[in-house]
Formats: sequence, C-alpha cells, structure tokens
Amino acid sequence: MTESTIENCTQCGACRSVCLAEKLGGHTITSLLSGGEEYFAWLCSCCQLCQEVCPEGVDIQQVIIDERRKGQPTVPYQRSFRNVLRYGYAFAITEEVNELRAAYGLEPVELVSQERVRLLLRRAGEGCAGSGQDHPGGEV
Amino acid sequence: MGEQVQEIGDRQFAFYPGCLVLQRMQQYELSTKRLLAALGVTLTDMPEAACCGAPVVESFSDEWLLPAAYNLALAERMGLDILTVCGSCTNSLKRALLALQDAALRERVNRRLAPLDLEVEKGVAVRHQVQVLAGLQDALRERVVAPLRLKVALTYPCQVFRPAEVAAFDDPLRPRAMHDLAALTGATIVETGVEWECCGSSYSMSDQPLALAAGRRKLEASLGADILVDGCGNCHLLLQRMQGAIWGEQEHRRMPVLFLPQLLGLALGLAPEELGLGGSVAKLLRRDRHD
Repeated sequence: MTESTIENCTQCGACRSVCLAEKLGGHTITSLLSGGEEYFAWLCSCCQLCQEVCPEGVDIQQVIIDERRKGQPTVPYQRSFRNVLRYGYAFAITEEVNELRAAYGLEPVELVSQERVRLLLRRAGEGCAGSGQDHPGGEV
Repeated sequence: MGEQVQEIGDRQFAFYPGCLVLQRMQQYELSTKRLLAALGVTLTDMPEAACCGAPVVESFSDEWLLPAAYNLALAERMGLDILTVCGSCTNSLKRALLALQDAALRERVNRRLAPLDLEVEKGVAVRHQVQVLAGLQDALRERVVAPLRLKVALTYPCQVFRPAEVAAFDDPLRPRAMHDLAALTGATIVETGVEWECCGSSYSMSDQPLALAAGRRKLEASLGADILVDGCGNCHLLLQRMQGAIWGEQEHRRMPVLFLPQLLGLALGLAPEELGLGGSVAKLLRRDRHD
C-alpha cells in the first residue's frame, strides 16, 4: 500500500537477502529486483518481509501481481481461481462441509450462493481461466 | 471512512474463517470459539461469507477487491467488527479497507454491491485472533487454572504483522504478542530464531519441494520444544498436515503442532475435545501433568 513503484528500485538486494524462498534456493521476484534474470513470480508466500525491509518502499506486492498477470500461472493457482469462480472459495466447498461441522459440534454455515459469486466476479470470470495472457483484467 | 477501532470491551465479532479453515480445519474454528466464549467474547458466523480475494483472485484480476469488500459489507450490515484466524485473509481484508478509503473507488465498489443490498460505508475493523487475545491478557491470566509445564516453540502468522502500515499491530519484524500470550499458560517458550519467519506453506502452490524444505527448516529449529504453536491455517497445513512428507523416513522426529487457542484453552481447563484435540496430544499432556 505504498505509492512507490518499481522505477524507484535501486537493486540494493535487501529484499532478496530476507526472502525465505531465496534462502532455500528458489528465485522469486526479489531476484528480479536485485538485478537477476531468473525468477518465478508465482513463487511467493506473500510474507511481506521484502516489503517491510525495502528502503525505497517499493510496492513489491504490486510488482508481483503485475508479473503474475503477464505470465503462466501454476496449476494449483489456476485450480484455486476456478474454485473461487465456481464455489466462492479457493476450495470446492459444498454443503457436505456442514456434516463435518456437525461432527465437531459446530453450527451449520450458509455458504455463499453461485449467483452472488457471479455478480461479484463477473469480469474476472469472463473467459476465465488459466492463462495469464487472456486474463480478463476486470477493472473495478 | 476510516477504520473504526472497536474497544475490546464490546466483546462481539463477526467470525470470518476463510476458505482453508472452513474447508478442513474445524478444530481451529472450534477452539477459537470455545476459548473466546470462555473469555466472554461472542463470535457470530457470517452467513454467505466468501473468499477474501487475495492472493488467488488478485493474481488474476483487479476484481479481487469485490469479494473482499463484500465480506466487509456483510459484517458492516451485522454491525460487527471482523475476527479472522489466518494471515492471508487478515491482510487481504485490511488492504481492502485501506483501498476503500478512496471515495471514488468505494463508490464504484458500492455500485457493484448495491444489487445485494450491501455497501461499505463506515467500514468495520478487522482483527486477527492474536490481536484480540493480546487485548485480553488480564482476563486470560485470571482464568488460567491448569498451568502447562510444556516447552513451546512458536511460529507467527506473517501477514498479521506485515506490512506495518497495513497491519498496524505489534512489531512487524519481531512481534511479541504470541510470546506474551503463550507465556500466560505457564509454558516455557523456546526461542527458535525463526519464529518470525514465514513458514513457506504457500510455496506448495508453485514449488512443493521448496514448501517441504521450508517446513523442515521451521520444524528442525523447533525440536527443542515439546510442541510447536501456530496461529494460521496455512502454517498448520504445512507444519502439521504435511509433516509426514516433511520428515519422510525420519518420522520419529514428528512433533505435535497446536493452534494458539488450543494451547490457551488447555491452560484455561477446557477439555481436549472442546478444543478439537486428539488422543496423541492428550497423552502428551498427561505426561506433562504427571511427570
């Protein structure tokens, strides 16, 4: 939630030095921001540590989102997106969840209706899903 | 519109479980509700609550803001602030609140919500459970009847604390809230040096081996403790549910992972089954009591 964009990045490497995925051998957006070419925008846990340490206050979350929308999503992300469009949740949650809840003594929940989901995500859902190239954008 | 900070004394929240906890972590919802009830806080379910929008929808479309605003509007109509239990939902809903301070954007969003007879007008506060509990430490301290003689390692839900301008709670790099809460149970807190690091659970959406490596890093650092305690469904998914895959043939290294309200609930004398705790943890606790 900062106004600072990627143009303000000085490639100082602070983001990369704190990134857990980088420590474990992965290459995230912080590789790009540190001058590297090998990176995968979908590899990120959104832990916000890079955001917190960036001395220029670059909106790294937005950089990641912009890069993701240009590229090919992973299968789990595609599946989760389709689930949200169909069920209103990132998983295929159906009325059966209430049987599970009953086993724990939890009250049944009223799940969101498909009609509401279509209304909320009508543009995101157009022509969905999967390739970043044809993603609908869906300006609000 | 500005975020209205509710006094904890109001003691009533709309409960927002998020997708993961709703689908497969009933123990977390149950223990949260039982613990907070014991502290005099009422949680009311939100009928027709939906996905929070981020990061999944946000990765594809700006319309992620719509489901986020929709959930905020549901709570506003209920007249309640929101209590969350995962990091990602907390961050998403808080970011949406900040974005919706832009009057023009709010108007566009409200036009989309109008057919549902919903709107974001004043806005509600969004509080992760750890933040609510941090304001209830006196009540917790008074109610501890079964002090725990356990060694406890912690792992913090990152997005509840970062970025600072969104979270507006505790220290973004070295938060202490979970330390303070866990210490109230009488348990000994084992410093791991990685309690503030991300667990890496979300890597499983793009690189499963890396997720397991991240989980192993966290668990290995925590092995000096009897149990590891988390405060997010995503952390739990990796550190508890995928622990078998993390250890592989080193299954003997497996350690119990509890949700924070399960730990606190035990110290308040709530029965293990009220907290969704199974036999193996009950056995560990018997050892604790009788050693």
